Amino acid sequence: MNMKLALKPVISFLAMAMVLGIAISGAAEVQTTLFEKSRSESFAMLGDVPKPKSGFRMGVVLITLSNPYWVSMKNGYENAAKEFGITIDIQAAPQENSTTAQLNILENMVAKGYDAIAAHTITAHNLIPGFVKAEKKGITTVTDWRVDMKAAQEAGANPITLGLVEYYVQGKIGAQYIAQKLAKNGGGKVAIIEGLPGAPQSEGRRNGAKEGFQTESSIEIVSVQPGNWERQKAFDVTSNLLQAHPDLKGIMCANDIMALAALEAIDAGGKTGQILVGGIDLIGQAKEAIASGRLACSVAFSPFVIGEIVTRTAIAASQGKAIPENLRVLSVLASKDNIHLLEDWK
Amino acid sequence: MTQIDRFQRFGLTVFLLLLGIFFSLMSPYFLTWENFTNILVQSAVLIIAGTGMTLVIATAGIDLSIGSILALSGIVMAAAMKSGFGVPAGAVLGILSGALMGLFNGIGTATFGISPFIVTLGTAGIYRALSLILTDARPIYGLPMAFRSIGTGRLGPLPLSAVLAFTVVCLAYLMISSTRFGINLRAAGDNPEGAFRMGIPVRRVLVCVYMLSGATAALASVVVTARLNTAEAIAGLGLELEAIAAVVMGGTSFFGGEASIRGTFLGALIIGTLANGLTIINVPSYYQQLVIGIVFILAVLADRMKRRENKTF
Repeated sequence: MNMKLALKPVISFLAMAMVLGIAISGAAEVQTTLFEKSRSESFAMLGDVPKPKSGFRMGVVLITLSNPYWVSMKNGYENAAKEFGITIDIQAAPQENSTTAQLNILENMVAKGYDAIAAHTITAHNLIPGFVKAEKKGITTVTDWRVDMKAAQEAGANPITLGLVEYYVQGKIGAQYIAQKLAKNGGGKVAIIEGLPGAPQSEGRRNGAKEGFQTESSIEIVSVQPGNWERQKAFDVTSNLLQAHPDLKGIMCANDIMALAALEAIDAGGKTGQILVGGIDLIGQAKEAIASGRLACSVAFSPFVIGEIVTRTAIAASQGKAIPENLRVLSVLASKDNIHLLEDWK
Repeated sequence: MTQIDRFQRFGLTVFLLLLGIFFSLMSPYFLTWENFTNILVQSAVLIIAGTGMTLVIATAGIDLSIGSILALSGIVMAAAMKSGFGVPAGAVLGILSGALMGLFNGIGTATFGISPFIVTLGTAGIYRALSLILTDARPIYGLPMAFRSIGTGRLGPLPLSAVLAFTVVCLAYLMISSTRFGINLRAAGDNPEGAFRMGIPVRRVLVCVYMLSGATAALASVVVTARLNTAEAIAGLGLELEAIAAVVMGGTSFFGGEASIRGTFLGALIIGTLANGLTIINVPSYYQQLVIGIVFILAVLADRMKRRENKTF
């Protein structure tokens, strides 16, 4: 009797938990998030990955682990390693510009003898001697587009290079969104704030933004200014733009930090809500700004998926599978319309 | 050589051996010839720059500009080679530019009597800025094959860069122990006033020491630039601190008067072995810096304890 009494709350608790569990899993089935969608589309470009041989070991050399972008990528690598049951060792240079220390790490990993090594190079040349050593040992190497392939091949290395991030597309879809919104109200003048002039990410995003704005004939680009990726610089540039073009209607920025600074400058200039601002990267602060309607849009892409897809590429390539050109990590436009589907973006 | 000196070098050698044994036990990949040469190549830059720093610290000075000198002299030699100077001429020009940068440090310190900390902190900024201005932060790459072999080539079984580092160490050791200049240098570091009264040209010695420090930084730059096939304005960031760490670990006192070239050599090898071994046994990068910091303090602490035994306080 006592026993029964004691069990009753337990049973009812279990029943409740079951109902709740079904409800949660049901909800997840209904709403596939944009993260899952873009992730599986990126995976589909590579196709099926053959099962790695047992005891497959992979080394990863990152640029640094001192900012969230790289930590997220590290998590992606580890997630893929778990999924495929391989061992993965991840190392990073102490700072973003420790070129020699990064090469030392790569060479130490080559000496250790992995089945595959993925390395995100700091400059176009600093890892090339390491790639040469890996090539001699027959280790599959995967790297990104920043490596000077001509110099690498001359030196005797032939790593697989992936151009995973579409900087041009990111600038384009952001600017296009702003252009379409403005065109509905008769168009107007817009400006672009690029990053560090000459940096390939910045050039790609700026050129893409130009093309995105030009898709609407009622839009006129009045100025393209460098913001050096910085808050302070972007704030000053925006203030100057407002002075020069009081009837400015839109600004596309090459990253979120500069877009958020532009919003501050617009507030300071007394033009709150009169200018549409777009950024790129979808950092946490940008998510909030979009949800509250201050920021018009941002463009999300996932360092987490970069880690996953590089791991898949390394596994596939080390077993002789041909790697398709133009593998990509998809970029997704984030605006007020879909920001609720981007909560789990990583 | 005093009793302490001998004990300490012995201690450092034992420490290095223990480190090697520890890493060998932790990973089968540590104790291989390939990895051994990796450690030598990776320590070469620190050994060369640390040797120059030892001379400076032996005069109770400091040179915070060697990282910037490494960058700027690398740019000078790479630009020279790119514009048609041959490999030897380009390398010599680079080393001379390093000596010239050291000359300015020496003049500021010895002639104008400004504290070397301040002079070299200032020139560190100036040389780094010049590197950025001259290159617009763009790397200079694609250097002649003959030059690159200094960074990647071998002499018999040994990497060329390591051979170069050994040579520098041996020359500096001979200079300190058995030349007039070496004796003057230590005297000037121990008691500049007394040395001056004894007729030692203290100022000239100091200027020479900073020039040597600049020249060794430039020689280290030859190794880095050749290895990476690139000269860039951000090269050598933080090198001065690593070099100071190697020197202090090696037992050269900040107060001047003594110079342990062998100690610096071992200190640099310990730092290089730690960085290599921690990667090999796959310690996460956050923790690597933690371990290196702790080992550094422990090594210096052990040194101080030994010294205290011979003192009354």
